[in-house]
Amino acid sequence: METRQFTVSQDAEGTFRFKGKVTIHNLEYLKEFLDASLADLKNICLSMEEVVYADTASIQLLIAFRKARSSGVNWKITNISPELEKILKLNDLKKELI
Amino acid sequence: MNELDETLEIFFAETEDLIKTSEESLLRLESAPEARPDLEKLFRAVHTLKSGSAMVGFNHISEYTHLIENLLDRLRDGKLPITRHLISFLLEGIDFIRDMVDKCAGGDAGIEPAVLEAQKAQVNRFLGMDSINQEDADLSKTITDIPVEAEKGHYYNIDLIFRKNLFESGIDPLLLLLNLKEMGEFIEVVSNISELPRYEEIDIYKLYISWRVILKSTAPLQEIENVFMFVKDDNNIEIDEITDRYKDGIDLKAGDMTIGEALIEKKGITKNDLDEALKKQKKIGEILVEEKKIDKEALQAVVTMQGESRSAYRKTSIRVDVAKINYLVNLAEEIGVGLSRMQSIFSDEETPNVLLDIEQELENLLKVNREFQERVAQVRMFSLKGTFQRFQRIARDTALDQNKQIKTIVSGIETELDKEVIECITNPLKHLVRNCVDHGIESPEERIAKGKSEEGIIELRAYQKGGQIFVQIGDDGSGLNIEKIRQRALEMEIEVPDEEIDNETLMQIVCNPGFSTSSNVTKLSGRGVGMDVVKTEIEKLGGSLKIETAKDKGTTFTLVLPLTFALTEALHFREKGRSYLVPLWGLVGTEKFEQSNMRSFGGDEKLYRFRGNYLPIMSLSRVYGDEMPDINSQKRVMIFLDTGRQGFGLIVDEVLDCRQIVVKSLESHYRNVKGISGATIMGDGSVALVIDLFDLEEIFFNKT
Repeated sequence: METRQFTVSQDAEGTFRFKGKVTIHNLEYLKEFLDASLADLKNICLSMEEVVYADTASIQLLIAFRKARSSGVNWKITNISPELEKILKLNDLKKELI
Repeated sequence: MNELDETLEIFFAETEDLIKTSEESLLRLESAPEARPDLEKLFRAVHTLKSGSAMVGFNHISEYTHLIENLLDRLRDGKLPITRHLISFLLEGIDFIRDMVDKCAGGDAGIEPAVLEAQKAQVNRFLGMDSINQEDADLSKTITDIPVEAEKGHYYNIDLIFRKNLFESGIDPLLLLLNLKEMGEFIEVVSNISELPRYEEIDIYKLYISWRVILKSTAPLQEIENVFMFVKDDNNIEIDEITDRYKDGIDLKAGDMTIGEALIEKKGITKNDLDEALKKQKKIGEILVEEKKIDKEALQAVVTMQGESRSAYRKTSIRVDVAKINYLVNLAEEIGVGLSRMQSIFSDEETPNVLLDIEQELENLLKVNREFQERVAQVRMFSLKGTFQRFQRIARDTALDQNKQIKTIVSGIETELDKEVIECITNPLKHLVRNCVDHGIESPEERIAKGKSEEGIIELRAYQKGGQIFVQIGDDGSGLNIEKIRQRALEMEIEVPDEEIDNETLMQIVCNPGFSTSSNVTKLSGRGVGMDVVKTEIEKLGGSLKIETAKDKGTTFTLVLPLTFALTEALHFREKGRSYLVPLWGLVGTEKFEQSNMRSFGGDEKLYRFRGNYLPIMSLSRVYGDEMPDINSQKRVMIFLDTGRQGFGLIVDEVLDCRQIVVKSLESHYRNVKGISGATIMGDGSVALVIDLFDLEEIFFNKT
């Protein structure tokens, strides 16, 4: 088992705060988190302020998850870190994720 | 509604807003070209339009918008100056986008390829220019005279379609993109997630995304290929040099080609791909007609019906402010809580005063429900902002067309009206705006000769007075030529009084079908149709149309529309134990009453010093014919009001708070009361009367 490179915590406002490197090495953990914590929520708010890196596999999974939410679900990603911003600009995936 | 319908509905609603924003920003940029925030706002709107249309598959809109976006980028970089010509060109571009969106909304996704290509070629020509001479009238000549120079460096089109199990070899496309970025500048990068399966079916370790990159680099082809050295063999990586037709990231020749040719030329697709796509493009109706399953007429009838249905569907959907929805949710929760309290009263046998409790709870529930109903109706209410912005544009275009100079002044855009009412009055108002510019505003020379500023003023104003909404369209032009109207009316055998024609009679004359005094039929108005239609449309809504005109002062058309109810900000105060609300728009300030600030004149004429001026002060007692209250009491408060014509002070017992209120008409429950525009039910269930400031002004200053 790989060491977990990122953590998710929920703050008082209900925002899930991602922290660290989100990569293919923790992809199953990410999927478990999505299925267990977010799948039934009507309002999903993720903060990416402390994400220093996210690879294609993780972003792809988040996009697929986001696309599977019905239109009744309010999906919001706030505070994208400058590092993640650069990545999403480079791979043109921001429009799919936000 | 399925998911696609919902996505489309959101797209259409958003697009409408984005187009309005773009237009608004362009008009502001025209008057203040240095306004950076407006340019950024415009850029963002166009960018969102581009990605939104691509997302719902309206690629022709996205392609065109992309070019406009590039053009705006040049403005942001200061490579192109903002000129009136350019603003006009961009406004036309926005109109073209609106046309395409409207066609899509009507179920007709197709646009004549030749039209689209011609429009794209126009933008490309603009992009090929480094500057535009704003005084040069012959724009097309200027454009074609600009030589296109080759830029330094190479342009590459790079298609990256990876095998699905790429991750297994430890390679992330992100790193390849990073390496590629180091070779130069990304002119464009487009991700494609169309192969991404549903979340439930996804293999998280497989790659489904592909990319296309346009890279500008000084490096030769070989070096670019080296970036993909380790993935080249077992992935679909295609790199093509496309330098000869690129300038500043724009394919200059693309505008003159059909989209299919452009794609083949760029080797983004093969001839086979294009042929296959074209085959699929055949419409189902055509196939069915060919196969003699239906005849052409039947097909046409269905297509028309479908188009009407879709546009009706589009018209019936509305975007609602989240705050309004939240209010409804809260009220629904209150109803829920009330009902459960009722339930517990019934189930608790030991409650001593069951009937009393139920009565109280029921009263509360009825009150909440009443507000709920009003708020639900409020969801249909929209501000006039978008409508007025559209009129600003119409006024501008009309003026430009006739070499007139105008300034548009807008006020009261926050006034809300029912969506359907807005839709119904938009066309009549549009006609009035054109009329004002076309017939009202004089040419700059005429204006100067009359001693006026060469810039005419078109004023769009909306406000609520009493139980009615007023929408005014006015100009400071020449005013209606009464003698000409009289003459024309006689020619048309319309009854005209011998004495002076008053405004009401004037309205009746100009609203005769076919009435026009204009000898100069412009492409906009003066064809003698319109005013009668305008009047009929407004009367259909239960409203009325008024006209005020004065020679060389201008003309003002006033639409008066009934108000079923409206949400208003108001100040709550008490006087003699009664609750009142005064609309916030008329409030200037409040302060504690100070005897030393008051001066008396004559009988009970009193003036009060407020912010350096003496204003007449009044008491509501005059509305009811009571005695003037004891103004010597130290506990009283002054409210200073201004109707725009008259400022005055109101002396009251107590000022409470500001709040948003729903004004209900008194007439439907009681009768019309002068000075009172309606009533509202306060949070504690009491009734507060809403002051009509204009009436108040009339009572105070005409009665005395």
